[in-house]
Amino acid sequence: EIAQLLRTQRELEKQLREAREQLETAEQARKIERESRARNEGGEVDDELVKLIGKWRGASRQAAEELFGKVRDRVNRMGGPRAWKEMQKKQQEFQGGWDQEEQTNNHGSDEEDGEAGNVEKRDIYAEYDIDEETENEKSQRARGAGDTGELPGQEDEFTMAMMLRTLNVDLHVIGYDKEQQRWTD
Amino acid sequence: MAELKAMKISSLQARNAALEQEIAQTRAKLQEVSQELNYPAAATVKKHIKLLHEYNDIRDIGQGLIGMIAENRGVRIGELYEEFGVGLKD
Repeated sequence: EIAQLLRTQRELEKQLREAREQLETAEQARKIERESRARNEGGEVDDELVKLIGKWRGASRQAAEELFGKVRDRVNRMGGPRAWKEMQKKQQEFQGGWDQEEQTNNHGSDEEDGEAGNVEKRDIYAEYDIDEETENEKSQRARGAGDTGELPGQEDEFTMAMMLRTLNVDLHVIGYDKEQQRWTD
Repeated sequence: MAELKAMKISSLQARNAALEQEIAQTRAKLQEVSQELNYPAAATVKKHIKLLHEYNDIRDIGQGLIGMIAENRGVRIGELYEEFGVGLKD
Protein backbone atom coordinates (compact mmCIF):
# COMPACT_ATOMS: atom_id res chain seq x y z
CA GLU A 1 0.00 0.00 0.00
CA ILE A 2 2.91 2.37 0.76
CA ALA A 3 4.36 1.71 -2.70
CA GLN A 4 1.03 2.59 -4.29
CA LEU A 5 0.78 5.80 -2.22
CA LEU A 6 4.34 6.75 -3.29
CA ARG A 7 3.45 6.16 -6.95
CA THR A 8 0.38 8.36 -6.54
CA GLN A 9 2.48 11.04 -4.87
CA ARG A 10 4.96 11.12 -7.78
CA GLU A 11 2.10 11.35 -10.29
CA LEU A 12 0.46 14.17 -8.35
CA GLU A 13 3.76 16.09 -8.11
CA LYS A 14 4.16 15.77 -11.89
CA GLN A 15 0.65 17.08 -12.47
CA LEU A 16 1.31 19.99 -10.13
CA ARG A 17 4.51 20.94 -12.01
CA GLU A 18 2.63 20.91 -15.31
CA ALA A 19 -0.24 22.96 -13.94
CA ARG A 20 2.20 25.55 -12.53
CA GLU A 21 4.04 25.80 -15.87
CA GLN A 22 0.78 26.28 -17.76
CA LEU A 23 -0.31 28.92 -15.25
CA GLU A 24 3.00 30.76 -15.62
CA THR A 25 2.67 30.76 -19.42
CA ALA A 26 -0.92 31.96 -19.20
CA GLU A 27 0.07 34.79 -16.88
CA GLN A 28 2.89 35.82 -19.25
CA ALA A 29 0.47 35.77 -22.17
CA ARG A 30 -2.02 37.87 -20.24
CA LYS A 31 0.72 40.42 -19.46
CA ILE A 32 1.72 40.56 -23.16
CA GLU A 33 -1.88 40.98 -24.33
CA ARG A 34 -2.63 43.61 -21.67
CA GLU A 35 0.48 45.63 -22.55
CA SER A 36 -0.40 45.45 -26.24
CA ARG A 37 -3.93 46.68 -25.57
CA ALA A 38 -2.62 49.47 -23.33
CA ARG A 39 -0.35 50.72 -26.10
CA ASN A 40 -2.70 50.21 -29.00
CA GLU A 41 -6.38 49.57 -28.16
CA GLY A 42 -7.94 47.35 -30.81
CA GLY A 43 -4.59 46.60 -32.41
CA GLU A 44 -2.92 43.21 -32.81
CA VAL A 45 -0.82 41.72 -30.03
CA ASP A 46 2.82 42.84 -30.37
CA ASP A 47 1.90 45.53 -32.91
CA GLU A 48 4.43 47.77 -31.19
CA LEU A 49 7.27 45.28 -31.59
CA VAL A 50 6.41 44.63 -35.24
CA LYS A 51 6.40 48.38 -35.88
CA LEU A 52 9.79 48.83 -34.15
CA ILE A 53 11.28 45.97 -36.15
CA GLY A 54 10.04 47.63 -39.33
CA LYS A 55 11.54 50.96 -38.32
CA TRP A 56 14.94 49.50 -37.52
CA ARG A 57 14.94 47.34 -40.63
CA GLY A 58 14.27 50.44 -42.74
CA ALA A 59 16.97 52.38 -40.93
CA SER A 60 19.44 49.51 -41.34
CA ARG A 61 18.78 49.24 -45.06
CA GLN A 62 19.08 52.98 -45.58
CA ALA A 63 22.37 53.01 -43.68
CA ALA A 64 23.62 49.96 -45.57
CA GLU A 65 22.86 51.63 -48.90
CA GLU A 66 24.80 54.74 -47.90
CA LEU A 67 27.75 52.71 -46.63
CA PHE A 68 27.67 50.51 -49.71
CA GLY A 69 27.97 53.54 -51.98
CA LYS A 70 31.08 54.69 -50.14
CA VAL A 71 32.72 51.29 -49.64
CA ARG A 72 32.16 50.11 -53.23
CA ASP A 73 33.94 53.18 -54.63
CA ARG A 74 36.83 52.63 -52.22
CA VAL A 75 37.08 48.90 -53.05
CA ASN A 76 36.93 49.56 -56.77
CA ARG A 77 39.66 52.17 -56.42
CA MET A 78 41.73 49.45 -54.72
CA GLY A 79 41.25 47.16 -57.71
CA GLY A 80 38.08 45.26 -56.89
CA PRO A 81 37.05 42.75 -54.20
CA ARG A 82 39.83 40.24 -54.85
CA ALA A 83 42.52 42.88 -54.24
CA TRP A 84 40.53 44.12 -51.26
CA LYS A 85 40.35 40.56 -49.84
CA GLU A 86 44.09 40.16 -50.29
CA MET A 87 44.69 43.44 -48.49
CA GLN A 88 42.38 42.35 -45.63
CA LYS A 89 44.28 39.07 -45.31
CA LYS A 90 47.61 40.91 -45.20
CA GLN A 91 46.21 43.28 -42.56
CA GLN A 92 45.20 40.25 -40.48
CA GLU A 93 48.63 38.69 -40.92
CA PHE A 94 50.23 42.01 -39.91
CA GLN A 95 47.76 42.24 -37.00
CA GLY A 96 48.42 38.58 -36.14
CA GLY A 97 52.19 39.17 -36.24
CA TRP A 98 51.76 42.29 -34.10
CA ASP A 99 49.72 40.40 -31.48
CA GLN A 100 52.27 37.61 -31.43
CA GLU A 101 55.14 40.08 -30.95
CA GLU A 102 53.22 41.82 -28.16
CA GLN A 103 52.57 38.47 -26.44
CA THR A 104 56.21 37.50 -26.63
CA ASN A 105 57.13 40.80 -24.93
CA ASN A 106 54.51 40.27 -22.22
CA HIS A 107 55.40 36.66 -21.37
CA GLY A 108 59.14 36.80 -22.00
CA SER A 109 60.56 35.07 -25.09
CA ASP A 110 60.80 31.35 -24.12
CA GLU A 111 60.51 28.86 -26.97
CA GLU A 112 57.26 27.26 -25.80
CA ASP A 113 55.50 30.61 -26.16
CA GLY A 114 56.60 30.90 -29.75
CA GLU A 115 54.78 27.68 -30.55
CA ALA A 116 51.63 28.96 -28.78
CA GLY A 117 51.85 32.13 -30.90
CA ASN A 118 51.80 30.10 -34.11
CA VAL A 119 48.88 28.03 -32.90
CA GLU A 120 47.02 31.23 -32.11
CA LYS A 121 47.64 32.67 -35.59
CA ARG A 122 46.28 29.46 -37.15
CA ASP A 123 43.19 29.87 -34.92
CA ILE A 124 42.67 33.37 -36.33
CA TYR A 125 42.66 31.93 -39.83
CA ALA A 126 40.24 29.22 -38.70
CA GLU A 127 38.06 31.75 -37.00
CA TYR A 128 37.80 33.89 -40.15
CA ASP A 129 37.33 30.74 -42.21
CA ILE A 130 40.31 31.70 -44.43
CA ASP A 131 42.28 28.69 -45.63
CA GLU A 132 45.97 29.04 -45.07
CA GLU A 133 46.79 28.06 -48.64
CA THR A 134 49.84 28.54 -50.68
CA GLU A 135 49.64 30.85 -53.72
CA ASN A 136 49.90 27.77 -55.93
CA GLU A 137 46.99 25.93 -54.30
CA LYS A 138 44.86 29.05 -54.48
CA SER A 139 45.26 29.46 -58.23
CA GLN A 140 44.22 25.85 -58.84
CA ARG A 141 41.15 26.18 -56.62
CA ALA A 142 37.92 25.93 -58.72
CA ARG A 143 36.54 29.41 -59.62
CA GLY A 144 33.59 30.46 -57.49
CA ALA A 145 34.75 28.42 -54.52
CA GLY A 146 36.78 31.36 -53.24
CA ASP A 147 36.38 32.41 -49.64
CA THR A 148 34.06 35.23 -50.70
CA GLY A 149 31.44 32.53 -51.13
CA GLU A 150 30.19 34.37 -54.18
CA LEU A 151 28.66 32.69 -57.14
CA PRO A 152 30.95 31.91 -60.09
CA GLY A 153 31.73 35.08 -62.05
CA GLN A 154 30.65 37.36 -59.21
CA GLU A 155 34.01 37.45 -57.52
CA ASP A 156 35.10 40.58 -59.38
CA GLU A 157 32.03 42.58 -58.45
CA PHE A 158 31.78 44.08 -54.96
CA THR A 159 28.26 43.29 -53.84
CA MET A 160 26.02 44.46 -50.99
CA ALA A 161 25.97 40.88 -49.70
CA MET A 162 29.77 40.88 -49.57
CA MET A 163 29.79 44.14 -47.60
CA LEU A 164 27.07 42.99 -45.21
CA ARG A 165 28.82 39.68 -44.59
CA THR A 166 32.09 41.47 -43.95
CA LEU A 167 30.29 43.60 -41.38
CA ASN A 168 28.88 40.41 -39.78
CA VAL A 169 25.32 41.47 -40.69
CA ASP A 170 22.94 38.50 -40.99
CA LEU A 171 21.37 38.77 -44.45
CA HIS A 172 18.20 37.09 -43.18
CA VAL A 173 17.70 39.55 -40.31
CA ILE A 174 18.17 42.65 -42.46
CA GLY A 175 16.23 40.98 -45.28
CA TYR A 176 18.64 40.88 -48.21
CA ASP A 177 18.40 38.32 -51.03
CA LYS A 178 21.93 37.52 -52.18
CA GLU A 179 20.86 35.77 -55.39
CA GLN A 180 18.50 38.50 -56.54
CA GLN A 181 20.73 41.16 -54.99
CA ARG A 182 17.86 43.14 -53.51
CA TRP A 183 15.99 43.79 -50.26
CA THR A 184 13.19 41.33 -49.59
CA ASP A 185 9.90 41.90 -47.73
CA MET B 1 6.43 -1.98 13.52
CA ALA B 2 2.77 -1.95 12.41
CA GLU B 3 2.39 1.37 14.18
CA LEU B 4 5.30 2.85 12.20
CA LYS B 5 3.77 1.59 8.95
CA ALA B 6 0.42 3.15 9.82
CA MET B 7 2.12 6.48 10.53
CA LYS B 8 3.92 6.31 7.17
CA ILE B 9 0.67 5.57 5.34
CA SER B 10 -1.22 8.42 6.97
CA SER B 11 1.62 10.87 6.27
CA LEU B 12 1.64 9.87 2.59
CA GLN B 13 -2.13 10.16 2.40
CA ALA B 14 -1.98 13.64 3.91
CA ARG B 15 0.73 14.66 1.49
CA ASN B 16 -1.23 13.37 -1.52
CA ALA B 17 -4.37 15.13 -0.35
CA ALA B 18 -2.45 18.41 -0.06
CA LEU B 19 -1.02 17.89 -3.54
CA GLU B 20 -4.48 17.27 -4.99
CA GLN B 21 -5.79 20.44 -3.37
CA GLU B 22 -2.91 22.53 -4.72
CA ILE B 23 -3.37 21.06 -8.19
CA ALA B 24 -7.05 21.99 -8.07
CA GLN B 25 -6.28 25.55 -6.95
CA THR B 26 -3.64 25.99 -9.66
CA ARG B 27 -5.98 24.69 -12.36
CA ALA B 28 -8.74 27.00 -11.16
CA LYS B 29 -6.39 29.96 -11.34
CA LEU B 30 -5.26 28.80 -14.81
CA GLN B 31 -8.89 28.68 -15.91
CA GLU B 32 -9.48 32.19 -14.61
CA VAL B 33 -6.44 33.66 -16.38
CA SER B 34 -7.08 31.75 -19.63
CA GLN B 35 -10.60 33.17 -19.91
CA GLU B 36 -9.08 36.62 -20.19
CA LEU B 37 -6.87 35.65 -23.13
CA ASN B 38 -7.79 36.24 -26.78
CA TYR B 39 -5.20 33.80 -28.10
CA PRO B 40 -3.64 30.53 -26.92
CA ALA B 41 -1.11 31.37 -24.21
CA ALA B 42 1.80 29.31 -25.50
CA ALA B 43 1.52 30.79 -29.01
CA THR B 44 1.42 34.34 -27.66
CA VAL B 45 4.50 33.86 -25.50
CA LYS B 46 6.45 32.04 -28.25
CA LYS B 47 5.67 34.74 -30.84
CA HIS B 48 6.54 37.51 -28.40
CA ILE B 49 9.94 35.98 -27.62
CA LYS B 50 10.66 35.48 -31.34
CA LEU B 51 9.79 39.10 -32.09
CA LEU B 52 11.91 40.31 -29.17
CA HIS B 53 14.93 38.46 -30.56
CA GLU B 54 14.25 39.83 -34.04
CA TYR B 55 13.89 43.36 -32.63
CA ASN B 56 17.14 43.10 -30.65
CA ASP B 57 19.03 41.72 -33.65
CA ILE B 58 17.84 44.31 -36.16
CA ARG B 59 18.30 47.18 -33.71
CA ASP B 60 21.90 46.05 -33.09
CA ILE B 61 22.47 45.96 -36.84
CA GLY B 62 20.89 49.38 -37.34
CA GLN B 63 22.85 51.00 -34.52
CA GLY B 64 26.05 49.43 -35.86
CA LEU B 65 25.55 50.67 -39.41
CA ILE B 66 24.34 54.13 -38.40
CA GLY B 67 27.25 54.29 -35.96
CA MET B 68 29.67 53.72 -38.84
CA ILE B 69 28.04 56.53 -40.82
CA ALA B 70 28.16 58.84 -37.80
CA GLU B 71 31.84 58.09 -37.38
CA ASN B 72 32.38 58.67 -41.10
CA ARG B 73 30.63 62.05 -40.93
CA GLY B 74 32.23 62.95 -37.59
CA VAL B 75 28.91 63.41 -35.75
CA ARG B 76 27.28 61.72 -32.77
CA ILE B 77 25.09 58.74 -33.62
CA GLY B 78 22.07 60.28 -31.84
CA GLU B 79 22.11 63.17 -34.31
CA LEU B 80 21.44 60.78 -37.20
CA TYR B 81 18.54 58.78 -35.74
CA GLU B 82 15.88 61.09 -37.11
CA GLU B 83 17.40 61.04 -40.58
CA PHE B 84 17.15 57.25 -40.53
CA GLY B 85 13.59 57.23 -39.23
CA VAL B 86 14.15 55.97 -35.71
CA GLY B 87 13.84 57.61 -32.32
CA LEU B 88 16.18 57.44 -29.34
CA LYS B 89 13.57 55.42 -27.48
CA ASP B 90 12.84 52.99 -30.34
